[in-house]
Amino acid sequence: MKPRLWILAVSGFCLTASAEGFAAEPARTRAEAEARGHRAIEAGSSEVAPAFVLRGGTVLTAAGSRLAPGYVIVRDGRIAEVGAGEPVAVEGATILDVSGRFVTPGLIDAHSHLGVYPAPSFEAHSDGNEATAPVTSGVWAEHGFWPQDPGIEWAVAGGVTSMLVLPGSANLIGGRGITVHLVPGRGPRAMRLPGSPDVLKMACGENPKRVYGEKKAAPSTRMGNLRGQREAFLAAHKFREQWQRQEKSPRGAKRGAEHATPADRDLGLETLAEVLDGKILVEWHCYRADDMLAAIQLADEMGFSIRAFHHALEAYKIRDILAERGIGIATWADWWGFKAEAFDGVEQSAALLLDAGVTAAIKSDSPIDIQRLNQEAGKALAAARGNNLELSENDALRLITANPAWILGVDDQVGTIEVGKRADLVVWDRYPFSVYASAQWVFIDGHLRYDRALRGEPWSDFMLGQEIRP
Amino acid sequence: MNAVILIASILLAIEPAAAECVALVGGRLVLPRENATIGTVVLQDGVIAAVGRDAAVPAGCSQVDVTDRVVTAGLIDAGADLGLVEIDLEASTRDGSAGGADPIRATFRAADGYNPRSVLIPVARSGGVTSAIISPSGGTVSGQSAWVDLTGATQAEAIRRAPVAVAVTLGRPAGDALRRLRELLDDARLFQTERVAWEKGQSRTFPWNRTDLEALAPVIARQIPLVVAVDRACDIEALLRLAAEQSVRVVLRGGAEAHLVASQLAQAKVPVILDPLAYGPGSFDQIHARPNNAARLRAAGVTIALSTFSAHNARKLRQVAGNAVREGLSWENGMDAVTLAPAEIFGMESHGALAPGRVGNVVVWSGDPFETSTLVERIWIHGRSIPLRSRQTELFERYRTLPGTLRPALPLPAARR
Repeated sequence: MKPRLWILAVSGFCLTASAEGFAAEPARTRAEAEARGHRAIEAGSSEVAPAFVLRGGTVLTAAGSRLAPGYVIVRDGRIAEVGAGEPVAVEGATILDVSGRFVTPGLIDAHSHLGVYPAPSFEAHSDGNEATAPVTSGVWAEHGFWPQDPGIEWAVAGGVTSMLVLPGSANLIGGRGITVHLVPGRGPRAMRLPGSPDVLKMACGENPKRVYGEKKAAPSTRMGNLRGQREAFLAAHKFREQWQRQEKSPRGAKRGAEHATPADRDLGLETLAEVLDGKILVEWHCYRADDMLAAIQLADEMGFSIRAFHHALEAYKIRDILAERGIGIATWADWWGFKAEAFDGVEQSAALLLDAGVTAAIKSDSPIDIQRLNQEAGKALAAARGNNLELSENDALRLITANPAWILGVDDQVGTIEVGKRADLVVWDRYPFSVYASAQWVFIDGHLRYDRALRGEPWSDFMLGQEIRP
Repeated sequence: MNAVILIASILLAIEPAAAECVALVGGRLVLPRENATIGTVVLQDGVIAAVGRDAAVPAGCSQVDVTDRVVTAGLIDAGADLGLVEIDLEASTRDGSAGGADPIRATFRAADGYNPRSVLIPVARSGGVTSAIISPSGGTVSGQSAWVDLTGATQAEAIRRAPVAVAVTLGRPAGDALRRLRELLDDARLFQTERVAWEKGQSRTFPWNRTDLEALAPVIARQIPLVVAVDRACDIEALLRLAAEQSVRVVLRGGAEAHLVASQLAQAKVPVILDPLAYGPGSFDQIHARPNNAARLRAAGVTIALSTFSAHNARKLRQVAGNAVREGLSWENGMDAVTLAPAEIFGMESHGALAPGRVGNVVVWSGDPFETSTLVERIWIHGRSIPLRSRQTELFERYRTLPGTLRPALPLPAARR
């Protein structure tokens, strides 16, 4: 039996499809190639979400409203209704009294490495940086994502319901990231937030030049960084033009579009071509203001747009430019100083950015801080008020909900409490920006995934057996 | 002879004269291990002269109205690396580790590298931190820790006592560090009795530097503790055995799984310095890390102090304490763990409380010090008011409005006045 399986595996290319979803022929179009690359073979959860009503609590919608008291009606995993006061009777729905509690959208972390750098840290499961070449556009974070990372459950306990998992910043172009919906899963493709776009992780500044400079390889300077990124996108342009030529050629037109695709696919250049086509969002690790200006110049030169800069501790210095160009920022509340390009961080950063009209988010980039994004937003709120900057409670909440949702390209699905959106909700035991606040319940697609009063079995297989002792 | 040298080194710090007198009137005073009260704090000659509801304000003493404000002793970070690093990734700014291949570095003194002009220090003060125990890192025996107050432009003003501890890291395998420590402590003890013979070449040789053996004398004399970085519960048990055999004082640093052996720690009177934010399974040594570590240790009778174990993030000490309280530690014990407890662990009873005779390190807060929404409003160190400016406030002010962020051209000389 075993040899037969091996034969099947190596010769599967020329077998015909035996069941729906199993394709024997190679992809003949870019769109088909993309779709196949993302297809989950493992099924997601088939549990049916219960209908329920949260009533009596203060609802902070992150869409401009504070409903005190307010209610949220959840049906089929979606927000069916949200309003002030008391809901009218809802047939078949469980009423959950959350008087004295606060309801917010599920928190969204715009920058995480959970799954690719798990907690606890394993050498064997450290899959976040393909630091063997400075441009690795063809690698995908989801191919390194360990769904059993115990840190995922801790993040949910902190009220996080979605996160962007990115490759690390060793590389100029580190590869694709994936938006993970924090539900238990056997593989990352089934954990992807459905419909979320791929993103491309890029990095400027110290990290790539340090990683490769120490190997006496390029890049070893910021000059080398920019050259490496410009050359990568020049190559992508050539690739894309070649593809377009073939599609338009008489031979290509005659055979139809599906035969127009070149047989010699290139995973890296396909990814960059998708960036040039605006289908993949660019998430760019960058700290210094002048590095960000250089990145914007490069994007202009090469003809793509930047969705957001990450970390971006000097973003406040160029917030007028960022606002004008619609570039988002994913930053910290108060981390700073660990390296030279992080030396100019200020606590008022988020408030200054929002004030200028920049879509700003507070993210963790940490298995520890992902557990307390609400406190980080609370600190941003305090820093604003302490310096007479305008920052509303709604804006502070958007730092960790709606704004990261936009940065991930999923703001049509999550990030606010609005009718039709996914029922990703957190019930907090008190004002969520308080240091003393804890998530009491966390719902994802209407399923109760965390209850502070009933922890249940650990999500991660790794944590099983750890508590057993005579 | 040794004892004389030891005492001289411990009394290194000299209280600077501060003649001013100031009375903070009408605040909510957080008092050590008793109920808060509305009252007055009088700072005179660098120390707290009087505290309480009926504290008398001396004639000529200036008054500051702190009504509706919370007044506490300055916070103490029991494991920050302030003054030892400016930028972590810039080796030219690092003074925290002796480096080199030798894992035994007992002579290395954090105090020698302490830079009181570090721009990190005003940032830490903006979080109400007025003192820190600074510790070397690296190797097995990293060196000697010092107590600094976050004021002054000179080491003489800032360093209050050195050494206050010898820093140790167990690492993995723990048994290797422990066997080395046993041998080292045995030899340090033997060296004291054999010193004269050793000088004459009449004793056996020691596989350690003479100065390392000397530096461990106050540890053997139980004058200062070993502060040992350790997380895993079974490593803690092994360490407790070593402490008992060697009759040395130990303090745990980190202690992620300390709650699993809380009763042993309480019985051995071993304190724990921990960061309650660092829960969750960060490493294989922390599989059983739990958010309520601080609360469980305190409930078992273990003395705890809290730390950020950081330099740049030392201002987050109050958030660290708030999270311990969120996870079940009482508010009073949370405050204790960032004021009086670290003072007592390191034998600095001159610090850590709003009490007459204690050093004049006082913070005025807009509300509950642990709460995210609370701001530090005023700070006094050694009885002197310290402005809350920092490099960060200056950056903020420069970029408060855009454009106009670039320094403008200077006026022509003729136009200057």
